[in-house]
Amino acid sequence: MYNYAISRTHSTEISEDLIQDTFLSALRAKDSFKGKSTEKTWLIAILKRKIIDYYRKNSRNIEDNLIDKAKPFKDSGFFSGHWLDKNAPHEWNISDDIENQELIKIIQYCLSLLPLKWASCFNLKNLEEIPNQEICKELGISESNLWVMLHRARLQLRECLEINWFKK
Amino acid sequence: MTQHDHNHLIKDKMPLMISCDQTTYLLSKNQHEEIGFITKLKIKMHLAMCVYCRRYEKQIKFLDKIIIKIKSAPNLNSFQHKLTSEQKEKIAESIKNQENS
Ligand SMILES: [Zn+2]
Repeated sequence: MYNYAISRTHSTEISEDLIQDTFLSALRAKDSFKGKSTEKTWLIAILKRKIIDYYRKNSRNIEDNLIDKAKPFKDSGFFSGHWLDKNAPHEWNISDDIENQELIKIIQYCLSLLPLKWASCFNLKNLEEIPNQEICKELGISESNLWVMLHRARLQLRECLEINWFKK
Repeated sequence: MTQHDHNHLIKDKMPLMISCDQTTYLLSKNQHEEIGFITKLKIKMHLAMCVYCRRYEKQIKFLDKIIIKIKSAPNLNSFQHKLTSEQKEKIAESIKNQENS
């Protein structure tokens, strides 16, 4: 469970709190546990709910003004919308990296650097596989807003990976 | 003038053409849902002349593969974390306190 929480929140501290919270909720609701699933599945289901709650609580009131600052594209002039020279993707030498544990660590690190609101969107969508409508409701954003943040999150992840892995 | 710049010069005179910002955005969206034939065509046209976005497309597919791996295996060795006995005690203690209150 602890590993599950860390793989979702990328923080040991937050994970500790979430686990504690999960056990408390589980204790309070122990009568509703009917033994239909294993205890572990049941606890993970509660933990999942706690992770969503965590994202909701923490990203609701954050301003979105980070969005334009981190754009890797020119924002004015004739070439508006084109890659900035310093941010344009370089060639990657992709080999059997996907099995590389170090690479997974770097990605985890890059995920932890995402602005919380983008991370909320990205993790709920790609890791928890929550439907768009529900994510929007939980985070209090519009669907087009969600798409933009998912997009920005991937742009930043790509760049982070390039800097920390492929440029070595 | 680089090849890239040149391609984009041509681009802005043609209504079917979209920018790198739009292209990468649509590539992200396409990962999750159907985006329509015309839009796909616009992406294809942009990719045909923009080496940066071609790289982006390839790299983002690679990134997605790793994300899927992280999703499906939270117990990967690289982040095999264990709660220390101190942490466990702390959690147990606070649960006890809450129960009693
Ligand atoms: Zn492009």
